[in-house]
Amino acid sequence: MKKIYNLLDKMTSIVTVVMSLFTVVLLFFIVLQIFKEGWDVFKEISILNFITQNQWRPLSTPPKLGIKNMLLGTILTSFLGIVISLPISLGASIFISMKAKGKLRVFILALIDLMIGVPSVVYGFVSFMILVLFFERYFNFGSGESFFVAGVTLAIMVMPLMISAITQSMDKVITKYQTSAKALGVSKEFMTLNLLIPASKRGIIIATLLAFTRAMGETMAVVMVIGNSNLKPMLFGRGITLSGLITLEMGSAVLNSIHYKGLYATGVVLMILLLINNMIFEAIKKRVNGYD
Amino acid sequence: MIKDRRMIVNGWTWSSILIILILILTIFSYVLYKGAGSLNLNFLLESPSGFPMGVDGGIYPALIGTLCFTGICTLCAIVLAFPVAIYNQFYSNNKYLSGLIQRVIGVLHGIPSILLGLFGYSYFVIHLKFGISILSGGLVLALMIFPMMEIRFEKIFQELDSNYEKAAYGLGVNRLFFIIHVVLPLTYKELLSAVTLSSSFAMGATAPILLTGAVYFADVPKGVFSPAMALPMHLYMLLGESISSEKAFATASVLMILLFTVNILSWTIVMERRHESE
Repeated sequence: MKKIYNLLDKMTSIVTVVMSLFTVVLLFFIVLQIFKEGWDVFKEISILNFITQNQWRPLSTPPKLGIKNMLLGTILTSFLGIVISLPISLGASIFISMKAKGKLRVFILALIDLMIGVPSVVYGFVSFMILVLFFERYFNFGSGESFFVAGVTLAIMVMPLMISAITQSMDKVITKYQTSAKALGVSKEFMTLNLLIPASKRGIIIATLLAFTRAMGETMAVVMVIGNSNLKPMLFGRGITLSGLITLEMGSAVLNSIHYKGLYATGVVLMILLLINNMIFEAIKKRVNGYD
Repeated sequence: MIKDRRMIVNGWTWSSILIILILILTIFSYVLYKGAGSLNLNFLLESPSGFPMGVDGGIYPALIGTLCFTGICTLCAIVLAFPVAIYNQFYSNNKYLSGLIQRVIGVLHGIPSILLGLFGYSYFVIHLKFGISILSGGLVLALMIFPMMEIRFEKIFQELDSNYEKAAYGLGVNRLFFIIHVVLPLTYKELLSAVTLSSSFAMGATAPILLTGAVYFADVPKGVFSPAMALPMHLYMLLGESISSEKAFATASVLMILLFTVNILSWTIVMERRHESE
């Protein structure tokens, strides 16, 4: 019996190692596959032209491929989303970790978990039905779809993510310093401003960057409310994002045509943006010293 | 001065938490309230019909399609995630390797679903010739949720009382025996809840299956190589082609109810478990 178990143990050990190494290979494989499909475009159009030209006409002769507007659109929408959601998420996390106790805390955290799970199409749908129609009706806009609405939608989507990440690091700070703060007779508000926020600085920055990554990659919610026209990004104007371009045009692109490859190249640009974001993330993780 | 500070901080935190709560309640009640009117058994059990398609009828094929996608994806994701979590927690004796694997899982978790969709389209659909099918869609979804699952599994294993492990190794029990007879019986409910929660993400994802498996209209899928409809995709189409906002609300409420069910299910599983251990 023992021999069989020892043998099986060896086998399991090998199988799990192989599977673990497989995930590493998988990551490289996914990245390489997208690069491979998109790279050919850069032989015809320089990468600089690709990201600084305005026109996206993959079917004209010669084809014009420029994704400046989409690139700026992606950055603008995610930036808006973060700017709107950061103060609210920070306030809510302080509330949850400082003031909410017992059942209230469990209830709020459960609702936030539920909010994380809501599919992005539903966010896009609700935001279209409420915000876009609101702008059309009361502001007399030709079309209610705009960067602003997309930013608000993204803000709502990333809020629960930020809250659960920030709350985690704040909880650590509180369990660490609570007794000392109480012994010194410090008020809760003083503790919030002078201890909690500075000490969980690292957690806040990390949560923000994670939310930024999530916002940049978000597709469906943005596609539904941004209007999808290749225009210069303006706060209350229609626009398009990188992921939106891929979603909308992939179905109509002929296999291995310049259009198809251009869309993969767009994916490559999106991936590079995320890699840059990841690098900033790692650098900050090392530099900023948190107390959590 | 002190009073001002107190008011500002309190006002800020109270108003933020209120905004969040109002947002959550608005989203849920708005969708369910508007959708309740056209939500009935016929809506769930009929195929879409009318002109343009989708104006009448129901969402039966989309419902079944979503369940198929989620089923395949959950199976594949478990096969990928479980051994990795086991390795990292119990078998690894190489710090660098498990650090690398954790980092890779983190990066995979951060890849946006549309890029996974692009990968799936060029690799599963075209290169491996699976075509636009449930299989390709399910595999891409599995790539999307398995990092999430792995992270949760590993956390569950970590939270296990380390005395069990010490006692087991002290007795000279081998690792596999320890995992099968101690770890799994203690954690299987939490593992199950992690699986259901992760697969609820797959249920609502649109971007990855948009390119690889879901189509606007199809019959109930006959095998893994046939394309299928999916609920989130159906919702996107009803709105995007401005077919019927009434049906769109009903579809959205079905998605929300599914989400509710899965969440409540996983909470009760974990609660029961906590209750037992007390």
